[in-house]
Amino acid sequence: MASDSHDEIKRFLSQAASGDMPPGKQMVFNPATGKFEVLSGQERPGDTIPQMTSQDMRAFGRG
Amino acid sequence: MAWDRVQQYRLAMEKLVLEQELPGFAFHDPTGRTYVNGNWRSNSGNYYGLHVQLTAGFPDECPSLYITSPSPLYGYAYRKTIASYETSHAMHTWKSDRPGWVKVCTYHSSDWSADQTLVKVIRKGMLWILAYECHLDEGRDISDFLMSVAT
Repeated sequence: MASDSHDEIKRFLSQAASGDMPPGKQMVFNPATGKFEVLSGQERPGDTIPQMTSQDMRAFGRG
Repeated sequence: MAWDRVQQYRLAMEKLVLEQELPGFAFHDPTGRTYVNGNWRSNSGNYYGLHVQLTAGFPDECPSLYITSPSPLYGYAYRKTIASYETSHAMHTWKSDRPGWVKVCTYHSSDWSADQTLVKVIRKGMLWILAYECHLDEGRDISDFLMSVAT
């Protein structure tokens, strides 16, 4: 089950930083909540890539 | 700065992805010294300001990421500011060129490539914040909570 608690995140980060990724777990960013979550088991993140049109690039051009 | 056509296309794509993934962040000064900033509420409920400064070589050059607020950003037990560590592997920071802001080491120059995105840079900044909050608990180095990045 997904958890965004500080303690769960801290345990994950501490173990991952030691070079030993927590087995069966992954940490993802949830765009819906704007927070990181530790997922376990078969839970999957749901990122999507938005479409872009040629109009979108005009904001960065002069004139 | 004057972005060329390739950069304009790239920045437009970055803007779209940013709006989708991190709606609290926005582009500013799109034809000048372009930067992205926004506020993030951490998992612990604390608010932080993040600022990503693009350079003329983007996306071939890694942008700089700063924590702009709280300012100053204090370390464990308020003993010293994070900025006072300057370039530090233990704290994953670079010596800041913006007084009062913390410059976070997101990517070593050898690890950066145009494949990386601004969203990834900001997320690495958020990860740094999570590690910083872990540091505040008991004073351990921020690097104890992040995968190793050479500084």
